[in-house]
Amino acid sequence: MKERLDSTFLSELADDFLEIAKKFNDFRFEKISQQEISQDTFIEMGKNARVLMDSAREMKLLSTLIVEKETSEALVQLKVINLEIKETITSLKQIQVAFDLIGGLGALAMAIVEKDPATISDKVNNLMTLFKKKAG
Amino acid sequence: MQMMKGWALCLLICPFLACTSLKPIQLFSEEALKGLQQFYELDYSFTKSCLDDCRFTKISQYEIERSINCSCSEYERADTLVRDLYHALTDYYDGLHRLSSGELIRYQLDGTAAVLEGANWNQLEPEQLNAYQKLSEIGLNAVAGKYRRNKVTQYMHEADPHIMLISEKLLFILKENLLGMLEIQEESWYMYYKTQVIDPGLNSMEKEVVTEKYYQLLDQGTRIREKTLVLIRILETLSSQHRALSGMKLNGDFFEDGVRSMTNRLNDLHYALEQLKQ
Repeated sequence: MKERLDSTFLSELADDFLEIAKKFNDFRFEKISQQEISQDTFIEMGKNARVLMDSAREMKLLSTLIVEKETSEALVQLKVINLEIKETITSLKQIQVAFDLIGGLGALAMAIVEKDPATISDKVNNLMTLFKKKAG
Repeated sequence: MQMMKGWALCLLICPFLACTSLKPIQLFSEEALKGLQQFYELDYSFTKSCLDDCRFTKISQYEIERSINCSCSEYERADTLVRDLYHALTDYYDGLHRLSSGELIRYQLDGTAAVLEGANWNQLEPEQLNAYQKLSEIGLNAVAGKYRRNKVTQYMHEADPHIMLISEKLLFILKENLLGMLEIQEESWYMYYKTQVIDPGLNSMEKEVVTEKYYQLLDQGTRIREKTLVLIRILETLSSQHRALSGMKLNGDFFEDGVRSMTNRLNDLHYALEQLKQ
């Protein structure tokens, strides 16, 4: 929970830094246009705004790279489920081959009933092809 | 008479067998994959943001080196994390789609029909042979289909809390951090070009060029932001719809209505993205 807070907290802190930098920029642009600050002060203030913005950038990056325990667990769990789905698909494909074999056996049985040697030979060949497919 | 009984049996069991349809799940996962595919339309990343910032800093400080030398390895790590989260989601929807797809189970029952044909049962018309084959296929699909339906429902239910967390993290990264990086970049452009415009050393023509350049960059930024926001809405739609559908019965009208309304919403978002590409 704490890590989760850190990730959100850092991102919000970065937003605050950027907001301050924007206000700081508005201020220095206004003051230089009214000639209330020198060019050197204006540049120096710009450098400070830049530091705030660079820090905000680093915080946003760090906030991204913090992966909360619950998120990393969710990633692992979803990967497990994805693997299970793939295994189910594989077993369904095996069921399909089994059904194909049953279909082939049925065809052979009918050819035997018909006592037709040419058809029997064809059906045996078909079955052999199916077996090879299963082995593959 | 025998054939009449066969057709009567067919009429009796067909409505029952139709209950195993996984079409709504197939449609749902297909739409989800199509939506997630839009991720590739996003031409902005943490690494790009780092390189843009690095290049812009060098330009604004008139730094010329033999090679640009930008250190962006940490930003690349952030992009890897985004890709990992994204791939976890696409892998899941891809598996769901394949599991619910009718393409997965195609039984070779043409052999049986061929033998009926070859056995000189000439009294069977080709349509009747075809009907016999189809009925056998439906029967087999009913057995495997019920198994698949149970599995699909179980997987959706189990995956839902993880889908929520992963989507939540991905949304947070895109919305708060990637768009946050863009906002920082925009402020850098503002600082630089506004300073140029108030520089008394520049004439009005040069100031005009500077102003034009600034608004061009701002347009680019707006386009990136709008594209990212569309992708965010796609992800939000998918995760909320997954939550809603994983708690519903597959056979109910609500499920199909849910998929239909999600499809409509996603179509609107695809259209919005297409507009942004022009």
